[in-house]
Amino acid sequence: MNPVIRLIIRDLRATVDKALLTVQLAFPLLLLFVSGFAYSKLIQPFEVQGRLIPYPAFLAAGAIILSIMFGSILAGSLVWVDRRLNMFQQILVGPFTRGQYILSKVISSTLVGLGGAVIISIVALPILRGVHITLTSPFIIIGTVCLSAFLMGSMAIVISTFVTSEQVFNALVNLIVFILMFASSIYYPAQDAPSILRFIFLINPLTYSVDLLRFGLFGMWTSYLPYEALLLATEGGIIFFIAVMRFRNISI
Amino acid sequence: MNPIQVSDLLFSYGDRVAVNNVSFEVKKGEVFGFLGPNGAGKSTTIKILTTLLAPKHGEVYVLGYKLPEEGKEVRKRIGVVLQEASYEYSLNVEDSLDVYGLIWDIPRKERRKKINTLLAEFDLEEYRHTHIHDLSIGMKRRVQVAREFMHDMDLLFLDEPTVGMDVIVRRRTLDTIKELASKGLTVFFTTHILEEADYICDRIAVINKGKIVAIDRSKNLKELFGGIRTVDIRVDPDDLGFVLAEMRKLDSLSVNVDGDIPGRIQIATDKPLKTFQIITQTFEALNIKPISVSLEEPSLEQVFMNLVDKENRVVR
Ligand SMILES: Nc1ncnc2c1ncn2[C@@H]1O[C@H](COP(=O)(O)OP(=O)(O)OP(=O)(O)O)[C@@H](O)[C@H]1O
Ligand SMILES: [Mg+2]
Repeated sequence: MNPVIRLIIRDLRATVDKALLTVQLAFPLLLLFVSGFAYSKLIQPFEVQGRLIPYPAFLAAGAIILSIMFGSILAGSLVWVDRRLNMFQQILVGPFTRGQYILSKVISSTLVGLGGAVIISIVALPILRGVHITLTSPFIIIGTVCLSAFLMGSMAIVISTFVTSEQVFNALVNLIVFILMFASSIYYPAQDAPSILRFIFLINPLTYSVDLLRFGLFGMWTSYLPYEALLLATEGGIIFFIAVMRFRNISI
Repeated sequence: MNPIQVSDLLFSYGDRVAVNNVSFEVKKGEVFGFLGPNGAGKSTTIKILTTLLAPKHGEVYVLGYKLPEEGKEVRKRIGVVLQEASYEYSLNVEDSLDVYGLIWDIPRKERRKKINTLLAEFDLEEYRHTHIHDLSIGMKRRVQVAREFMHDMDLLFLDEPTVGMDVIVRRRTLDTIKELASKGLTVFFTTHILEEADYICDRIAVINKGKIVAIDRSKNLKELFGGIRTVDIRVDPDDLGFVLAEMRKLDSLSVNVDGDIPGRIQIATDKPLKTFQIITQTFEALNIKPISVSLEEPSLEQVFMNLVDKENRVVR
């Protein structure tokens, strides 16, 4: 069996904290139901290609991406679990390369993120109105979800190599999540953002993820989309590369 | 080429030199002991040999592969029990062994078999379903050592493997290692417990402040650095007075009488052969036959204290 697959099975069997996973679904669910319905009193459904999309459905795409983000952040915390229990060193003296170790963490987190996305999607099914599935949309949806999970997971791992304590890691991740979340198109489209914020919107990978997912789900086209897809893939690749580089020299 | 071949190895953490120009080799099927006080550089050396750290200077070959370049090949063929406790948080003993076997790509059937053997060998059967974090420290250590035998290897590194183990399990662990070594496994072993090194190691290197201060068979080390040895003589208590009177005439002997055991004389000497000769002559002159005359082995502890203490005093 491939070494990366072996490490992923280990993660899923031994490292991933099932209780934590459940808790991490809480926020996206909250967004989906509480915020969605509260705001839908204020925000009118809008029209895309003649179809009416209610605000809760619009937010649902954000909730799916959020669940991926929370799942993916697990990757960084998995590295911490391994470090705290010294399994990190133990695995690094085993039949693996450091690159394989990181890749396994990123894929484990991608899987967890995808699992979250599937759950949120199923829960959101009743409110996902105005969905318009074409021949290409499954590819767009799956591609977006996987790429986002990959990018977020890599990012969490990069952060985990910069900080020396688990508490700092958690605090830092919370801060970054907060910034990414609000300065993204989860709540409203990027074009409508105030001009100062728009810049942050446009470098924020969450924006690309959410926009691409909305395109996949509702056919919401903006002229940014091709660039966003390109940026998402490039940023993911770059961040993964940084993760690998950081990991090569990480102190034991 | 020897399984481990190290020349002029140097490693420092920032400014602190942890391993200072060390050279040694470990032969196939040998149990090689690395002995030294806290902070001597034992674990650092193991971390270099197991590819966790890259040497700053010097040549290191493990199983014929050059480090750090060919670390990947080395890691496939070694077993490592690190000094720090390491375990899977959420697993019980059985699953922990199983997951470890899995990451080493051991087929499921073989894992089942190995788990049963190891649980018996390390006396863990009754803890099979206990979560690791509910085990005592010594138990955790047992699991960690047992776990390493889930896979085959050519070279095994053990960094203070028996810490926290009770006497029986410690002995059994050492015997397991000895047996594997007799079948061709090469073992690199560190410990603070000198009798343990004496019991299991074919050769011992004593390391202090990052430098190897002695390296030899444990028997030779004792002869070389054991220092003063003791000749133990038993005579009939009725003859004791005559023998003592005669011996005390000789300035070259430092004679001690054991007050607890009647008829026991102890002579400290740094020239045991010469002393033997003098004693024999004395008995012949008196026409008395001793009950026994024997030379006491110095302990490895004496060797260790001699080597390390002297050095530390010189350095300070
Ligand atoms: N991660 C580290 N960063 C900085 N210095 C370190 C680090 N690890 C070890 N050292 C230093 O390197 C030296 C050698 O340490 P090492 O752990 O190799 O000793 P040791 O012989 O294994 O000791 P012990 O018997 O206590 O395990 C010590 O002076 C120690 O303080
Ligand atoms: Mg040590």
